[in-house]
Amino acid sequence: MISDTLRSHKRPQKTAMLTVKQYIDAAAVWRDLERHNFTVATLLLAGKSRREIAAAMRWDMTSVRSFLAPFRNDLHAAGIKKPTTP
Amino acid sequence: MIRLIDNTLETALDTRDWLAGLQTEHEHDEDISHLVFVLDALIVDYRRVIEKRKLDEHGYYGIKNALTMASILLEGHLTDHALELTTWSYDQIPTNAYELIAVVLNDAVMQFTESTSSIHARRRGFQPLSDDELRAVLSLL
Repeated sequence: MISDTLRSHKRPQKTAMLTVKQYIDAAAVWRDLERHNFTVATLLLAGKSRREIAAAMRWDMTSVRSFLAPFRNDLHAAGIKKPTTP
Repeated sequence: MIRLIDNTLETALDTRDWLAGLQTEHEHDEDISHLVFVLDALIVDYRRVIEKRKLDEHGYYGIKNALTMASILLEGHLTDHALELTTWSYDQIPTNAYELIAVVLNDAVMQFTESTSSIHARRRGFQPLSDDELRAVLSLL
């Protein structure tokens, strides 16, 4: 049975996607973060929250936020937005 | 495999699966078989480019040219089938598959072009992200 939605090429995508350019920009941001502070990168990789990162690094929350803000801004500048669930 | 691939490749994969499904549901159609073959080859090339440690310029232009030519050929095919397209209905073999694939290929060419327009410096040190790294960097948002 052929789905009716196949009559249009504008079918909904299964997952949130990035363009090739955005993907490469995201990779650059991540590598940059790794170079700046590999420990924080490792904690993020382990899925730790901002609060857990602050505790592990013995930073206050403001320091965590100000450290991560430039990287988040770089992602925004590359047009990468928080994935939304359909 | 890198989890995150752009819309075009995802669409190409969907289209390929759809065409393969058509092959089993309808009588043999050489055009559809050929398009499945072409899409398989393009998807392999596309993945090869995206998964490379560096986006190789020679490979990029080779694939871009292949996609461009395929797109032109498919658009020509679409013109040949214009009459069928105007009368296409739900229960027929969807000849608009050609249009769909032409759109996909055009998008692919545009994405390749876009990917190299402003990222030359970053391409030099480009290292693909693992699934976990991608998840981590997107958690910054």
